[in-house]
Amino acid sequence: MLFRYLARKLRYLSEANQHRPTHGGEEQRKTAISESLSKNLDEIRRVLVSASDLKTHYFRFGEGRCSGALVYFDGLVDNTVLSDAILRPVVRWRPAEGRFPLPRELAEVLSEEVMYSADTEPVQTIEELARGSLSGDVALLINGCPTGLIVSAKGWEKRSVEEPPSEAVVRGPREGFTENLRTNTALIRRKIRSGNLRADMLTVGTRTMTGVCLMYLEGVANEKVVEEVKYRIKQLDIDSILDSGNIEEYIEDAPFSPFPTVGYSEKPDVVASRILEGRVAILVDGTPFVLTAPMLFVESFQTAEDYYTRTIYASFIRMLRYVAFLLSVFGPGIYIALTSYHQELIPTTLLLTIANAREGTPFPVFIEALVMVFAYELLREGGIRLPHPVGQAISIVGALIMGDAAVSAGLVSAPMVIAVAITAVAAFLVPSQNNAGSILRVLMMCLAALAGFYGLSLGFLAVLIHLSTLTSFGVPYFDGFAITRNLQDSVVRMPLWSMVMRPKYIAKGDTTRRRFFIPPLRPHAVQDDELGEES
Amino acid sequence: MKGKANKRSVLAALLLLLPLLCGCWGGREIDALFIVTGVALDAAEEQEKLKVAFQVAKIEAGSGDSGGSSSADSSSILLKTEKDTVTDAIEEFNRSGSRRIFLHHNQVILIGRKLAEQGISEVIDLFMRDQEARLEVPIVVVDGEAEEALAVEMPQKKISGLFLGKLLELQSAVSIYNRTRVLDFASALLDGSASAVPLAKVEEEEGEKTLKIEGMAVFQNGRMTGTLSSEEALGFIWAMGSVVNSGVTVKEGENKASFIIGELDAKRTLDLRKDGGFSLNVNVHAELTANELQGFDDLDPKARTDRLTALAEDAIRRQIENTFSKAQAMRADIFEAGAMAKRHMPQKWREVQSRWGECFADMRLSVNVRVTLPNTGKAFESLRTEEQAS
Repeated sequence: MLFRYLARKLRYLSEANQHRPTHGGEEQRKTAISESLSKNLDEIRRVLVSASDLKTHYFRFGEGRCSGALVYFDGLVDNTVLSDAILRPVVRWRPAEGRFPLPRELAEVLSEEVMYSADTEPVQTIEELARGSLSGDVALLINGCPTGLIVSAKGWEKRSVEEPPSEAVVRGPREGFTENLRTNTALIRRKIRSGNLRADMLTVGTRTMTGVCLMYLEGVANEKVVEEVKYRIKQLDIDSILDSGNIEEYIEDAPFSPFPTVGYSEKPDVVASRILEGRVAILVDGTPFVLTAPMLFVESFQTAEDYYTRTIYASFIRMLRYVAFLLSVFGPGIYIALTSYHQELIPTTLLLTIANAREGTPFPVFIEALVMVFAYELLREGGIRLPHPVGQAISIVGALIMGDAAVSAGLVSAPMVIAVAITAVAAFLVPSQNNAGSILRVLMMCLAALAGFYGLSLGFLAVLIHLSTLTSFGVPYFDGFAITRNLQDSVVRMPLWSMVMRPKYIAKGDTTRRRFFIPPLRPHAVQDDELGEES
Repeated sequence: MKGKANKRSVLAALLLLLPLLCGCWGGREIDALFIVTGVALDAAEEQEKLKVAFQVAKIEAGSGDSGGSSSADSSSILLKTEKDTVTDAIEEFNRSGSRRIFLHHNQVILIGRKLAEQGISEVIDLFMRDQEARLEVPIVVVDGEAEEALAVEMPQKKISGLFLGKLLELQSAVSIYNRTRVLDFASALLDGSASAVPLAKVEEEEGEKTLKIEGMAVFQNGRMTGTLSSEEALGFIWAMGSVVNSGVTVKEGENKASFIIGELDAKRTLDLRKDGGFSLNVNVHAELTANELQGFDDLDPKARTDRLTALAEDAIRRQIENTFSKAQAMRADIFEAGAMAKRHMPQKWREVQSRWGECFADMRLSVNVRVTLPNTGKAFESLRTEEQAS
């Protein structure tokens, strides 16, 4: 459709750009480590240009017979590890009498026999050393040895595992991802202790060199999807990745659609459950938001807590969420259509009430609705960006001035305020479709103002058609609403024991989730007839 | 190639525009509407003219500070004119007023007695044809001037149109035959059968005017020909069946009993008599609950139940027969016997159609009432034994 047309235009642009030289990645020179310590240090300083946080520490060891140097970035390494596990054993090392190694073997000896580190890597070039120290490791150089060592001593300041503010739960695990990639992979691996859980590392961004980790269950995830995700990420030739949102934008299927086609979450249990359904998780270093692909439309209406609370309540809440989403998209539109086209549909008393409230307001309903929705978006955006104490001021101003003063001054009518307020509250029930909701809401309002319910139904159809043409990594976006499949976890949430299969389009290979199992219903030791006697 | 693509895009653009062409440009803001809540039609002094009055809800500005007070019960405006047709009247209101007449929410059509007697089938026509007017609007005949009835301000509901609409809705909860909609009226008109329309009266109590529904007006061929009193109206709706929430009171000397109708089901059949006339059979099955018993305590429960049953059956039968003979006297077939004849014996119907009034007057009625009293007097019994014990 329209989006495909845009995409075609874009492809043309990208071809035109193809001839430009690739943007400034660091030149890929390779300098071998020489035997002279001072020469090597000069080389390193040439690669890592005059960084004030670059520290070089000289020391002598082996009873004063050898000299070496540690190169690291202050703040990236753990100082206790550095002094206790690396420096101290090396300086105190006394080789057995008469068996002092040759200088060129020193690196190997130190890493194998002397240092208390489980993660050392011998390297031959200056550039590799530089990269090691950039990623938070310690580079160790020894005079007379052409091999350098990269010793792991990562230890920068990082946030601890906290409850994620964007996805609070009443019941369920409260831990959330952090900005540290390793912590995040560990959080997931702690949920899924399976040897089949793969974690493939990629590096994206020629300047940021951001670590990106793909986690998926081998044998469950669809290999084609995994391949597709990998392919799309490897395709990237960009200089920086600062958040998973950057990656999302590069790999999503429909960049111009209001609906997101890549999911995200801040909670390890949510990501783990998606991995178990056969999805691929994309963890990006430096952000607590983990992407999952492919994404289905139903996913927006499923929350972690749905699976932790009892089935009837979960189903009820889920249906409520669908209603809320429809309300948030169509609410103001319906109000406009009713009051400016279809007054006959409003019950008489309600119509008179609305008419009384509308009397004396200066603008037509549509303009009024636009103003209110605009004001609401203003308040919301303002409230999000501001620091918490000021944010409260915003909400007070919003409630008092927008709600009350505007109505009593006769600028807007009270029913409109109510309609917009209900819409706003409803939108919060489906947070991941919030952005789509805001855009579609305005669109629906325009259609309603143009042609009443006729316009609304055209709009509804258009959205429906658009949704059913979307795909996410080859999986139909609307899968889950098709009558024949997966209805058990779309509109209602069936009991867990009845959801035997994993979602069909996503999982390949091992598609059976669990054996069908009916809860015991009665103590299993008691026979049927005994129970009968009891009652 | 390029021409083809161009053609295609033009076609697509046209297709996209197509849905807009049939669009409803009839958008209208609420504040540009006169929301009509009641219509009163009267015969004018002048021949062939109509007195038309529209009751319009008065919309009060400044909903803000006054808050709750701006409810739907604000008072109303009465628009009046004298014109040849209702349409003319609407045109005039549209021209002279600042707003458009909006008929969708009309609650009731009141018709003055004089106009009713002259005939209303032409007058009702607009309410049948117009897109805005609903066919479910009830018709009420006013004993006197309809306009006056519309101007009455009820204490609870200031807009009398709304009040009447609500009132008739309540009445129709008793029996759907208690309310005549434009649709019912028109179909009776087409059938050639008579229709009974609720009859309202303006009464003055301590200087305050109120509206009351009392009895029914009987229409024949769109012309009002007589009235039924409230009692007689009851007989009518019982014969028509599907009555709930109504009651019947019987007396026998000092003893009195009031029953509430739990369920009343009536079936009517039409038979051809040997002498060529018709006979109408009405089978009523009523389930009653005794609501009040005074006396009747000299009988044992079984006999009392039988006695009460017989009394109630008799009361209902007499009421139906009473109404029937009244209708026969007016030659008004309100029992829809004509429709039955048309449906079940079309040949005979064609034969007698022209003189159906006489046929109806000649019709014999047999009423068969069966009353059941499922739980009568049990509570009464227990009360008395307790009294004796103490």
